[in-house]
Amino acid sequence: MKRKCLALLLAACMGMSLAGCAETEAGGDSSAGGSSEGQSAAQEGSGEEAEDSENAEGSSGEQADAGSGEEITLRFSWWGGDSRHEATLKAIETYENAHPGIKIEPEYSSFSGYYEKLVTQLASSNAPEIFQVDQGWVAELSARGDAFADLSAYSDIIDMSQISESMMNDYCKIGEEVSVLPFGYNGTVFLYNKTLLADWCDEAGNLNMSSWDDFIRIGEELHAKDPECYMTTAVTDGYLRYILKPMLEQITNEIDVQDDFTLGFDKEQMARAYESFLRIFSQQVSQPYDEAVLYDSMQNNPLWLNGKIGGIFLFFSNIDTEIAGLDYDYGVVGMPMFADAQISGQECCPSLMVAVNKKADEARQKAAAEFLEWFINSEEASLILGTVRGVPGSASALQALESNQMLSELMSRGIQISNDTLSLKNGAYELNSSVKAVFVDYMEKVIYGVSTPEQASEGMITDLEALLKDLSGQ
Amino acid sequence: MHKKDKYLGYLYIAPWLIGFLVLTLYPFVVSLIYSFTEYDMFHIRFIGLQNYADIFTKDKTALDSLGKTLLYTAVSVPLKLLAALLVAMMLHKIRRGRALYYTVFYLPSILGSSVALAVLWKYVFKKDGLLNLLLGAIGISGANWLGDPKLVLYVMMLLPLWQMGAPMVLFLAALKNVPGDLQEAARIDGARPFQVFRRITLPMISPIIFFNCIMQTIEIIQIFTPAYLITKGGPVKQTYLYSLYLYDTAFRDMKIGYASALSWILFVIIISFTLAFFGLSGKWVFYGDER
Repeated sequence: MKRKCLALLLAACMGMSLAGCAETEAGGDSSAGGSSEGQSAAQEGSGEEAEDSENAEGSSGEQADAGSGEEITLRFSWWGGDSRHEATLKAIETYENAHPGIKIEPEYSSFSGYYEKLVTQLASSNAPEIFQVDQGWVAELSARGDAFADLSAYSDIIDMSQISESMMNDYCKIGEEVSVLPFGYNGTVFLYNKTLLADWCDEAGNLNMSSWDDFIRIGEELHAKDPECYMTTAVTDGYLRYILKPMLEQITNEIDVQDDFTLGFDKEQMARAYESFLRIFSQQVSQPYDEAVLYDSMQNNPLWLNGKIGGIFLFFSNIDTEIAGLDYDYGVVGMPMFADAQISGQECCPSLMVAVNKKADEARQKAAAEFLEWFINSEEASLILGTVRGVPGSASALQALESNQMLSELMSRGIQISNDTLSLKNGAYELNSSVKAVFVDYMEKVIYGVSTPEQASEGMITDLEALLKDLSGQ
Repeated sequence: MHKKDKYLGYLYIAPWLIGFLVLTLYPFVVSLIYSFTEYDMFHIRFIGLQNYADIFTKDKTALDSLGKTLLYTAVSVPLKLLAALLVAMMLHKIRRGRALYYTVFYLPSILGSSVALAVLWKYVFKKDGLLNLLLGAIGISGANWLGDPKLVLYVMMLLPLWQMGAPMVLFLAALKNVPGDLQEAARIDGARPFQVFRRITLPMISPIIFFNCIMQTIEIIQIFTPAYLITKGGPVKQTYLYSLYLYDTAFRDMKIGYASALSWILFVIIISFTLAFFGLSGKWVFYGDER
């Protein structure tokens, strides 16, 4: 019996230990929050830590040094692939060489898990001084976390006139404050395989496709000609952002999730969008969804790699990445549209954004602003970074790339098509991760036949309204 | 001297003790407090039992995820233990090359947190994966194992089998401790091999079966990696297991208080299972010193 009791006790401890693991990070936040108080105290101190060795930098000692002409260390976090990491590290090295008093500590990773880490860092006052953010996160991080320094205070350092006024007003400002700056900008286009779609192109190789009816017809004919081929494919996010949501916006002519936490569509409009969307699967225009979504990217999808896909919807800044290593002839065309649509539904928005941590001290914020001016606007940085963060949002950086022929012909064509296309801005909460999860959930229910378009639109509107109410803090 | 030894002892266990206090006990207690709050990582507000009430009355996703997780556990745990026991019995009989086989079967268990296995699993079970290539070679058209909502959860249930090394080693140790004279006496009395296994071997290793049962249930009910890495909970939320929902609630939706309540419900379920196992153990677990 004693053994049983002992075993019971041990099992309880084990269970507690394992269940406790799930909450380690939550608890960690609080303890880290405690350390931030230590940092603040150090900032107010007289600079005793100035004598600390370089090894001790990274926290309080460093902050005390910041104003006294000693070396300033800035942490800079971003996500991306190898090419972005390599180019950014090279740019950082170049900047550090030219600015001996500045040290920039890179913190880079893949996209997966970045947001969760950033939120945890912000909550525990341990976020980097400079951090990359996605446009969809800006409103929520600003509202909940008060995370962003007001960059308008550094307008004498950062030349914000290089960024278009519409982009500044639509995406960078919250109220009167400049919360974020765009690294690059993007628009949705259709990249097509001229070789495969030669029968539907004119003599110059331009695809004769302007409407969704054209898109469906070409897809059907292509699949009938070669059952292995499909007009398009995407990952889950792509089906939502590049096909379903543009269809919805073309039907409503409204931003689907408005900045006042209301929806820009009703049940009938959403059901109509679902019905149109389903045609790409029912008429075998798209690779079956259950096959397509098993690939993380086009670069893993054998049909795309083997030239069996007519084309893909994508942001123009991703064109070069998606066709890297592929030996086919490609062209670019704008979004197909419904006959009565007034806007294209393309996402024309900043590709990636950058913010300065509000909790960084003034000296660090100033140093971060100086670095960002160089990183975003200078010719030197632009030539190092190329398009690893999309087509530059800064006019001077874009000019540098164009004059050095660093933009591919396809990408330039994509920019032109996107600029010539009428589109709406993204709503502040449109790409919020919780909002997107609701869209994906119901999109999949419709695709798999779990819900009819009518049922899905009703359920989605109910869920979204509840979520938006929560996000609005009501 | 005696007192000094005592402090030295504490010093030796200090790394574990500090880790336990800071990384396990503290979050454990704090998560209980959070579970009574509305906490989005930036603002906190006490709301009493509201999170728990919402989970049981309004949150269909939580209950669906819990149902799938319990089904997953109910199938995976017996399968894993059965596979571990079968392999242990085979290895117990093998005389030559035993160490090599031990290593081969134990190897997947040391691939930390099963991330590598999850990635491997994806490549094996994809539509154009290894399994379908093999099936295609013998003229069978394979299914879309990970894309078909009706199949995907069952395919995922097989994944823990790859990490049966730990229970297998314990079974092996237990099998070695089964007294040979008992088995021999049974055989002399005319017992067939299956009867020897059922009447002698199984009761003698029942404490280890019991231990493995509890440990594997605790581990598998919290399974997260395969659902996160292979399917992201899809398709149509068919693999949206409880831990993944908990993670999304905490870090995607920033509802730390609500997620803490979800984790405490999971904890209560685990403890309940453990107590139930102990309650039932008197009927089938045989300890050598008891009658």
